[in-house]
Amino acid sequence: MSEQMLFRQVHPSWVVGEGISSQTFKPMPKDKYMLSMYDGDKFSAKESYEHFIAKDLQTSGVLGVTNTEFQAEDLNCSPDDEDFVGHILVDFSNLTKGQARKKAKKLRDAAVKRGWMYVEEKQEQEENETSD
Amino acid sequence: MEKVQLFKPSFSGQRFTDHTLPFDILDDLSVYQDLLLQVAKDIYYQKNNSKRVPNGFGAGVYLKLSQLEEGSTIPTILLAAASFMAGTTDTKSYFEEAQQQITKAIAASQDDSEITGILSTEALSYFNKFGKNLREDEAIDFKPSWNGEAKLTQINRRKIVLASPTATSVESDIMIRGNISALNKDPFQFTFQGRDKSKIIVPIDKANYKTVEQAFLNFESDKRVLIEGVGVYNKQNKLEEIKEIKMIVILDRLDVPTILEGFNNYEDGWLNGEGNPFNKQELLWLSYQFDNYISRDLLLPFTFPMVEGGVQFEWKKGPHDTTIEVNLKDKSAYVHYYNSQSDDFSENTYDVSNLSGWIEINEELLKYFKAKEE
Repeated sequence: MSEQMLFRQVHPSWVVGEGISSQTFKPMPKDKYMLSMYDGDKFSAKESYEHFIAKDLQTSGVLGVTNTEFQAEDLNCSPDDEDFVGHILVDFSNLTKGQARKKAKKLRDAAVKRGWMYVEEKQEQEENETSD
Repeated sequence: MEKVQLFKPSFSGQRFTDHTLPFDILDDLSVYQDLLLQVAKDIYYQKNNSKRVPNGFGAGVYLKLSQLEEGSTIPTILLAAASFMAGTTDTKSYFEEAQQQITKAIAASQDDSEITGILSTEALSYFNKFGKNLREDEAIDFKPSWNGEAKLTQINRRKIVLASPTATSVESDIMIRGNISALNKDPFQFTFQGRDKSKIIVPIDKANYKTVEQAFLNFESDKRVLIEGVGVYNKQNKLEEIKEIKMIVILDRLDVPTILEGFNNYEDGWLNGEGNPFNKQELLWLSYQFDNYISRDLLLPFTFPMVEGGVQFEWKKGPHDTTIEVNLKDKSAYVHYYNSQSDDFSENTYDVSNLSGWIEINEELLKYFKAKEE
């Protein structure tokens, strides 16, 4: 199977400096323990960001995890075109609380190691100005 | 010697978890005796339509601290006297009724109802001293005999003092966090800006100048300070003056109480439609728990809100990754440790409503997240 990038939007509340909460990769009970991702074959990171904020939802930026990284964690990724084309659901159901948190931490680490796939340009500029 | 049990107040807060009473709280309790006498006299005046109490009213009547109950900080306060008789008047019932009136006033302060009709102006002024030594996370629960709550906290104490028509302000110990938004050299003073953007002009002494200047120069990068001292609250119970600075320090950007204070601004649906607002008292509780129970030898964690209503602390160092999910309602903490080298994890839930839970958590954290290795 070819490697496919999947994108995850990160809520501003879960970013403090360089710290990104592992909650970013922990699905909620109300989502039936399914983690919502964007299909990297159908969206660029920027497009996923724009698609997300167009729904009046908040995001600080986009992180990426590959389908093989999910599979290495025995997490099944499946398309959910009913919501929108390019929507992927990652199945965390049937995991214990501890297992789900372990996997969330591993996925967060893989994504952070890869770095931000997209952050809003204005924010990026501000970050550069601050570091200069 | 005659003595009766007057009431059994319950003290809550970090300082009381080992079931002892700090010395400064004993100061407060000694003021309580004067308050009780004042209210007993007020009741006598009212009931007997008199401007004087009988000779000897209150003479030789005093309060005694009897015991601290096992498992909690609940002293028994006894009302004692060689004799409660003042001439032909038995004063005991006036003191017992006074106790009820004080409890009613505290209950009224808690639910923001009218206080002035319950206690006289003279009696209200005793709250300038009674409860002054309580810290922000502490409360004295008067446990009313009726259905309801009567907890004296710093906030309620200030409400009671300010209920007096003659009071225009009240002094209170403060521990506040914020930024320095302006610095003036003539006269030497700075502008302290709280999280809610309210501003207070504060005089500086030379000992604190360097710290203030450093915080001011880094205002744009949100450098925050912690000020401990004495503040003056106005009639609206709003801090309007910092009268004395006992300590001012620059805070790390990961300072936990500062971040938790920011959670007060979260509105309903803060996480893209999900998530409830946080309860201010619960956040305050966690701030104090963290400040007092989590070792200062540890790295500061990242602090995040949880959509379920709790708070998540995250520590990461080398292969070690620990998260603590604090449930603010039932005061429990779910601790999850993951080791990326061994790929193993462990989990445990602690009762953090008492000190022992925090001690166990601290021991776990100190294994992996010391700021400086020895």
